[in-house]
Amino acid sequence: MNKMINTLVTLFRINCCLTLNQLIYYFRRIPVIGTMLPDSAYGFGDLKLAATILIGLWQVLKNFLYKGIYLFLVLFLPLQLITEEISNSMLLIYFSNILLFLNIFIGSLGNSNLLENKPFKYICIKLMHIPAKQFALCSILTKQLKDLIGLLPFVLLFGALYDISAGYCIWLTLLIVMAHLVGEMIHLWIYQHTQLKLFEKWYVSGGIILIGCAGAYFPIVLYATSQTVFQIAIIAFNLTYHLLFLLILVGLYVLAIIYLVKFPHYKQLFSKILKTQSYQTVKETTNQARFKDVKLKDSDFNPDISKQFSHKTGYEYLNALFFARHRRMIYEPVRTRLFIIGICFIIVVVVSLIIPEVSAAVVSYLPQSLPVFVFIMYVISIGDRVCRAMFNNCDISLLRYAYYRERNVLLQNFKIRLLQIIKLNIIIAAEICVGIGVLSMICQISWAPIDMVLFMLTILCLSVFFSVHHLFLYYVFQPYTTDLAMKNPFFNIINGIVYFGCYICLQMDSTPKNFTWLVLVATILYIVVALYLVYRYAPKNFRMKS
Amino acid sequence: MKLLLEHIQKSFGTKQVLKDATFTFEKGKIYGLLGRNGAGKTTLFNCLSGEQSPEQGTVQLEISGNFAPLTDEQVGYVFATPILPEFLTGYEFLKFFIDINQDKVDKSKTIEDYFELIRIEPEDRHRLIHGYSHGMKNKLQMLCFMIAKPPVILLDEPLTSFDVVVALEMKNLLKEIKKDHILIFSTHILQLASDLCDEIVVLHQGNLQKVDNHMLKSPEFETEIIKILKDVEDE
Repeated sequence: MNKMINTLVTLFRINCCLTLNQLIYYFRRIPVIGTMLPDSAYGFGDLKLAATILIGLWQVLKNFLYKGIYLFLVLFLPLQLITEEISNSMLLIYFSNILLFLNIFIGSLGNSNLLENKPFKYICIKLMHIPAKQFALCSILTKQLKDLIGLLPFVLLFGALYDISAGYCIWLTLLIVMAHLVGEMIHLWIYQHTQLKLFEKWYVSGGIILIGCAGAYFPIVLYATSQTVFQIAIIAFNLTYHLLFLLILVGLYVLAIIYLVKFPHYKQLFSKILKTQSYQTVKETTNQARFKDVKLKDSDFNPDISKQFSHKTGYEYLNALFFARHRRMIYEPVRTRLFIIGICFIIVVVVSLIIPEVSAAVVSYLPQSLPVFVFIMYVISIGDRVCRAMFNNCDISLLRYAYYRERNVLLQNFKIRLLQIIKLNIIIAAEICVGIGVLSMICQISWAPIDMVLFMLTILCLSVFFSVHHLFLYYVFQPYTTDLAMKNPFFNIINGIVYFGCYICLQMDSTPKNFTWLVLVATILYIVVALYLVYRYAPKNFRMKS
Repeated sequence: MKLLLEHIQKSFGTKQVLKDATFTFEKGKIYGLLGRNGAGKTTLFNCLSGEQSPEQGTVQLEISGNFAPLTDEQVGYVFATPILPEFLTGYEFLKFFIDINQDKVDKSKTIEDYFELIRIEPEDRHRLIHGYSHGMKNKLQMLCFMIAKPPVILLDEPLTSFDVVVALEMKNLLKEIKKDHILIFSTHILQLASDLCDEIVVLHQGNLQKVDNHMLKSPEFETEIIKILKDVEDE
């Protein structure tokens, strides 16, 4: 027991130390005030003790904050949307239903604390030589406590808002905490017998998340239309009361404790999980992961392309080759989007043909749905991946050379690339326009031709707008460092503003005509401003940052 | 043509890497920049190439009596690890590079001629740079400077990772082009420095210091250099 406490304290201190050094490191990078903290700050022993205490508090607080925000978003907000329309007893069912599917189902099966490969784990076990078993048990214990302490107040709080008894809230929280431990046991058992980290397989995690989200929110979305779905929710709710379910869960919980405590192979387990990676490569692996999807393969190389573009020169030639060689990774997302959009429209069309009510809903909703399309276009426009490919495969090397950083060259390059990205996004926008055209014919929407044209024009405009957006941010902030983690806070701020703007649009009621003008003006303005800012700031900012 | 460094200072945090680097480099010579690990060789190069800006001091280029601050375009920088756009073939990269340097290129030479110059085989010319060996990438990088002819060429530990044959080729290339350029190359391999360089400059404790020319070929070269590097430290 003493050993356990010692290990817990050690782990806590290592964690604090890492966090503190990280904080100092990033603080010193802030312009102007950063330099106020001297290099020697890393060595301030006394201060560090005080800071350690603060950081300890911060970590407790952070745990609360994360859990609070999480529950606010997944539990409180959705319930708030329907709270006026339904009775208290139904609210209780939805409340337990969300927690049951998200926290118990996804929370326990979707991830495994024990099997994750984290730098912290590597430092503790490989570098600090903390005994594997003690590390494992301590981190499980910490996780359980963090779950319990972090979740309980918020479940109680949100429960109280909906008149749900404190006893039931505590009970639900305990179920969640127990289920998490059972989840750890299941994952460990599977890994021990199959060497598979199931939760890292996309089809498993995807399936779990899909089922979980469907279970949590379908009853809310479909409360008015589908009795079957609602019945499932009631069954799920009753489960939390059902004696057999409780006995099974408590039994599994006890079994999990025994299994995890008695588990003899932690050492081998961790050496397998952390094996081929040094701490440095853990960092590299995460970075590589960011750029994995933009890595060139041998199959991307087609020597004939060379001749095809031989008439082009300079940067035109460079970019033509770039887009040709990156065809796969650039067109793949376009194809996926085209496919998904196509499927969505087909579903809506088919359903409208079968169910007249849906058709009527489309007729009344579609003409005023432009603001929603702002958001949709934001989500589906392509840009991020192309920018990462440009950075990782092209700019990362050429930015080293002075000629590539010249003002006119940057601007010229920006224009060429912008046109290419716009082309990609226009394809997607065009499909949406066709879809809308077909839909309005089938549902017989009676809007004036001019309105329909304006509607589609807006969508095309939006796709141009977001094309500019991605590339502009890339050029003016060059957010990636050589290790490709995003570092520039302004990048996130501007991105946040545009995101917020899109969100505001969701709330807007506006006639298509005014809205079209708004979008058109915004797009042209953005292009002009972007070109100016690229010309003005890119030579300074668009360079390698290490 | 001369490159004049005057009182260059550069620090990182409280650590002053370059204290008062002052030196004059001349055309037609290969300078070997010697220094211990972390002495600031790369920092000095970065300050010259515009990757970083020094806190104090000036860097000027004198061309036939006219002094002007050194611009980024006047510097060619060969990195220790060659960095080239890997999605292009060697041929495509060269075509691109020649295109954007139209005004400086010797029109009588074709792309193939250039490849001959650095001895890259015809079958390799149309392969992705991605698959090139370290040596080939470095040759290509070097070729860029033979095309664009920047007055100042900086080489950061360039020959250390070459096999003997390529190293010899590169050495001969450097000797060929040195008459038109100011060549500075950093290394901590003494033999390479004494072999190739006309002058040795030691970067120690943030200052640049010339080593007597006669020493270069003398058997005591190594002990003398080590003495310099240690002496200053002991003070």
